[in-house]
Amino acid sequence: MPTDMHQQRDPEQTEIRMLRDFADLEGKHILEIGSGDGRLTWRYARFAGRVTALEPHAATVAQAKKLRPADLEAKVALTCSQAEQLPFAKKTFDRAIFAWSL
Amino acid sequence: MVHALQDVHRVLVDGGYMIDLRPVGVEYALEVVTDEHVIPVGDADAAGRAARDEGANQAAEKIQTMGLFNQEAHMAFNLYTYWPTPSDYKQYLDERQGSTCLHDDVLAHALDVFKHAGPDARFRACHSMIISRYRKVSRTD
Repeated sequence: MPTDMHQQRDPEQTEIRMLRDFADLEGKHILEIGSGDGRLTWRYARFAGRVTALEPHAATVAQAKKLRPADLEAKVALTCSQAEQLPFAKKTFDRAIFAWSL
Repeated sequence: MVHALQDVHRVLVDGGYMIDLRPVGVEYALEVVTDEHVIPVGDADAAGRAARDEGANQAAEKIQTMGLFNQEAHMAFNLYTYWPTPSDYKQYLDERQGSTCLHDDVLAHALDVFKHAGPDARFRACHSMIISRYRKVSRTD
């Protein structure tokens, strides 16, 4: 079993609480840059309107697609792209989140 | 990174927020925790993060001097990651080969404290975190 399966990350829910307090996510269209395997994405996506999660590494995007909860498939789009050239029209998103990625 | 933030400015609606959530600092406090006690046992060495922290701080400063975003709010908080034993944490760090390492003397002390802490003992790493909210400054160009 991978060692990280043993860890219990933030059982106090401090990170997600801070994010919700600071970002006012409810019903918003979110762009997350550097979403990794979606660890944090799944935790806040239920409160958001829609989420587009961007990750530059194709293998990590593939892993995130496997880990994405079934009930979030319609809400969270996973995209492989660099942050320097975002493949979106201007004024598309209400929020942009860099979580452990700036 | 500044180029990425410039493009984030482009795709955000007027008045939209950019959120920066990340760990800071070059040490993570390590603790053995029981139902009754929190026992500090040393620090994990995250000195490898220093350059990345500095780059992120400079980028955050730059987007404000460029007039793209204004920082509206900022807060520091602690985030805890728990492990069954200090050895599990050590193994995780070794497998991950990231910028954080647990030195042998700290591990030995942590194991000693953990051994005497009782059956309900757990081990945790404390990340010093920041969260900042930046509001997009609308431009006419």
